[in-house]
Amino acid sequence: MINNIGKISRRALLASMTAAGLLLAGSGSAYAAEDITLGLVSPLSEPGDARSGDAIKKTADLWVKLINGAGGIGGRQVKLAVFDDQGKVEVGASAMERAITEANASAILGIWSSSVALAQMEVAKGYNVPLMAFYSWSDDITAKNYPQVFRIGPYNSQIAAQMVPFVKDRGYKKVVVLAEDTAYGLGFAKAFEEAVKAAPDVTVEVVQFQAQTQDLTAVMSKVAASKPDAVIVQTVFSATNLSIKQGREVGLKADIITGWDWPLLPDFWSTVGEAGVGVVYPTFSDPSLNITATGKTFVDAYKAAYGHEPAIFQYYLWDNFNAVKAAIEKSGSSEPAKLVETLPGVTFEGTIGPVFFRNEAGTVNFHQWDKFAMFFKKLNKVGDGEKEAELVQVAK
Amino acid sequence: MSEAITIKGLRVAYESDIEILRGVDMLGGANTLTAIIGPNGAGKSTLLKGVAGVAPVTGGEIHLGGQRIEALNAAQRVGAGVSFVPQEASVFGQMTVLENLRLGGWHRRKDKAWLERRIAFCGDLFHSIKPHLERRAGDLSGGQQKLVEIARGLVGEPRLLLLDEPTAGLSPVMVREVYREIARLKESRSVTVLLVEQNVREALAVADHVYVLAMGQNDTDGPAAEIAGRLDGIVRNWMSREGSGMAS
Amino acid sequence: MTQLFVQSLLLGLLQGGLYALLAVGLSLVFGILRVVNFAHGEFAMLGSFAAVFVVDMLGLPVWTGLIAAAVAGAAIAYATNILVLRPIYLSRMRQKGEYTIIATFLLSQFLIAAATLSFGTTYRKLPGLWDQNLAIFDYIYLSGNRIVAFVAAIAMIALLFFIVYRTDIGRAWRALTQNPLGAAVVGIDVNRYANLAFLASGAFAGLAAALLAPLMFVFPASGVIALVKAFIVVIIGGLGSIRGTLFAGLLLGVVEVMCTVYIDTGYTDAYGFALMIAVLLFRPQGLFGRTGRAV
Ligand SMILES: Nc1ncnc2c1ncn2[C@@H]1O[C@H](COP(=O)(O)OP(=O)(O)OP(=O)(O)O)[C@@H](O)[C@H]1O
Ligand SMILES: [Mg+2]
Repeated sequence: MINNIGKISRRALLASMTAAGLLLAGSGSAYAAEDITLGLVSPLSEPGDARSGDAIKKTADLWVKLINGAGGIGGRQVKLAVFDDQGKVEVGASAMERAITEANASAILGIWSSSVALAQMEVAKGYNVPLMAFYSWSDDITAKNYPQVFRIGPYNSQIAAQMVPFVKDRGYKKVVVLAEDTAYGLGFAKAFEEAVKAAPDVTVEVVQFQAQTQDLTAVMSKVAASKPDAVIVQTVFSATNLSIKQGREVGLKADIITGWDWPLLPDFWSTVGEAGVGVVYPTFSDPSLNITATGKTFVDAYKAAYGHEPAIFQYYLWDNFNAVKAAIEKSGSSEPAKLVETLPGVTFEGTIGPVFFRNEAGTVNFHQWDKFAMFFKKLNKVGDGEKEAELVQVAK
Repeated sequence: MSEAITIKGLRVAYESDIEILRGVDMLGGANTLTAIIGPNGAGKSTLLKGVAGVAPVTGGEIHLGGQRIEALNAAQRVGAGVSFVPQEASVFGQMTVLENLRLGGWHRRKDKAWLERRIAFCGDLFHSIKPHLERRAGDLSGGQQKLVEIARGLVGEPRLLLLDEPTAGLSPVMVREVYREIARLKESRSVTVLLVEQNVREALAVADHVYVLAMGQNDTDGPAAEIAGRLDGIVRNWMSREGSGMAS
Repeated sequence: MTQLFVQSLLLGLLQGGLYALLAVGLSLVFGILRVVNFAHGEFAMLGSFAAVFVVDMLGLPVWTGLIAAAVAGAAIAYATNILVLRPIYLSRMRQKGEYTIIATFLLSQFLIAAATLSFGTTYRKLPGLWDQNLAIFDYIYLSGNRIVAFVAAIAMIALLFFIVYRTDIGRAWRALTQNPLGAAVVGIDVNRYANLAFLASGAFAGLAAALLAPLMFVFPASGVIALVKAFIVVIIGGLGSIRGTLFAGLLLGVVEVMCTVYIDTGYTDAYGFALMIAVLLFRPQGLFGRTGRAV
């Protein structure tokens, strides 16, 4: 009797399990045919650059909303699989692996820190999934010529080359590059040392520091004691914004040039206070930029959604997303492997001009779009933003 | 000033399941000296620790005069008049002998005049430590340290003094000093003493009553003279159990 | 001596004073209870958040932030002792030391998570008492906040010295440190003095964090850094030795700054570890440690 019940229930169980399995499999494949998943792996919490991560997330959300509102890509809806890399190499790499294997992402966007990106590239290569960089400046990202890796945005050696004329024109003789010990910071320092050979009367000293530190007072004492004319601060971690304040604290008199336009981020003035006056930052954004129709759509939607202007790197991120869209449309597939094949040949209207990739194998200009101008701007009083900043030089 | 101590069915377990004392009864009359003897591991030290509140009591009662003290913590028992000089080293090595003595009067430290008097008095008790009052206790010899502990135990004018092998490792001169002091205490009739001793004959000479413990329980007891009479038999009995002293 | 040398020495000493203040409570608690408190850094972190709350959100003057930090640090430390540690060391289990390590480690993770949930991970700033850069004889350059922090740290450590060597509380602490059994038999109430030690430990940690805050940031994971520095300091100075903690804190500050300036700017945190390992190799009980621990 008992045995009998056992048999029946076991058979019933098997049957229902099979049915459930079929159902699950059916539903799974049905969805896969419908939706396109894009992976967003970004620094969303400290110690990562969470301020930038937040801007990235906002841009991505907005793009998905706009695309889906207009009927998706080829009628398919787009969804984001969001992962936090915490600015940490190992977290970023495993987050990317999960985006690919668990979320079945067609491409990975939103990468930020160069060190994280360099580790993620290996994952991209292993799974043959496109990885889109936009504001990760290490030359190696494209110089390694991985078929899966693309960059719509600037890179270190180009920026360094554009900084040299600026340094020369300003009459700086002694320049310190204060570089965080990451692929980004050290990559820039190396590129700048290389580029500055074009200006023999300028001497450069690279001072390296631990990226995650909060106290640069000792380092800045050393920099101050060497009495440079200018200090170029290369860092992405927000804690090191303190370097400006701590430098002034220990008597640094030199001009301060930031490595990118982080003085425009909202917490700049509250962090550095008075010490921020006179800081010069390079940017790729200026009212003189020619914003395309695509760009205008983005900026208007962004302002409507979030109440403030997007920063220039968000334009590049927008172009990143549109590049993936263009590749899906061109190949008619969201298979990662297909996108890897198709992406190098896409052209489309970007936010500030037509976008296409340079594909010069063996150089940094591989899967690389590089049409941008660099503007040097100065903050003349506490609270100055992009509008108030004084344009001091343009490098083309 | 002193009080009788009554112990009923006392149980002690250091760790959850192993009971070391398994129901010990004892009576020490006011102003008397009760010696506790027994083989190694019988639980003599554990009994004194249970009474002093530094070992966990799991059952039984301890009465000091009219007061139940088994639920008090060690500090409260000191306040109730209990002073314990343990078998293990208990001096404060980085403090001077005088500072050690000062701590002996901790529970009445606000009474400054009394405390200074007691420190002076107890510092004077033993010739072997008298010249060393300003030295760090940790720098004295083992025997001298033991004398410091005994002197410290007397500073607070206890009503119940628990001495655990006070003469172990002491030179004959020091042993004499200790027994002279014990005799003096008895004479003063101000304190009840429970004395654990390995030097059975010395102990019997000063004791009023003697308890024999074995394996965490009462073995036998009687007036000192009576126990002295049948000591050989008692000790022979231990020998046969030596090494199995632990109750398990 | 060059300007850079003098400047570095001074910076190192100023930093070291804060390290000492951060570590002194850890050392005190270890001496008295033999408890290695892995949640010590979170006492500091929560103290600094209390200061941010009082100054930034309630808009009260900066000095009240310091008091709030000390009070919050003390309160959380007290609660830790009562709720987490006392049940362990009053229990009759073996290996209490190991259990306290695990318990305080888990507590630290919990407090970080709780702070992250309540305050978010964003870096917060705290104004200081003396937000001004000073150029002393145009030779030494320091911010007023750094001087305030150092003076306060040294004053608090001096106060602790006074308590330890001149008061009954200190006498009880020293007794418990030197011989717990001796302390019990003379009638020192372990619970009461352990509570007081935790109160002091938490107050000092919270205050140290609030003094550091104007120079750096306040954020949930900050306690981890604080704990690492405090561990290095107590190991160099000798666990349980307050004198050693003060000396080791100053030493760590000076070594970090000097090595950063004169050896390599890229390894600031590594110099402390190197110093600690050197001490462990040549004097494992710490520079001021004794075989019988002395407060
Ligand atoms: N702190 C402790 N934790 C666990 N067990 C203990 C502890 N102290 C003593 N014991 C055990 O209790 C038993 C009795 O020990 P106790 O010290 O009371 O014996 P004793 O009669 O004083 O012996 P001795 O004459 O050697 O001093 C022994 O088996 C001992 O191993
Ligand atoms: Mg014993």
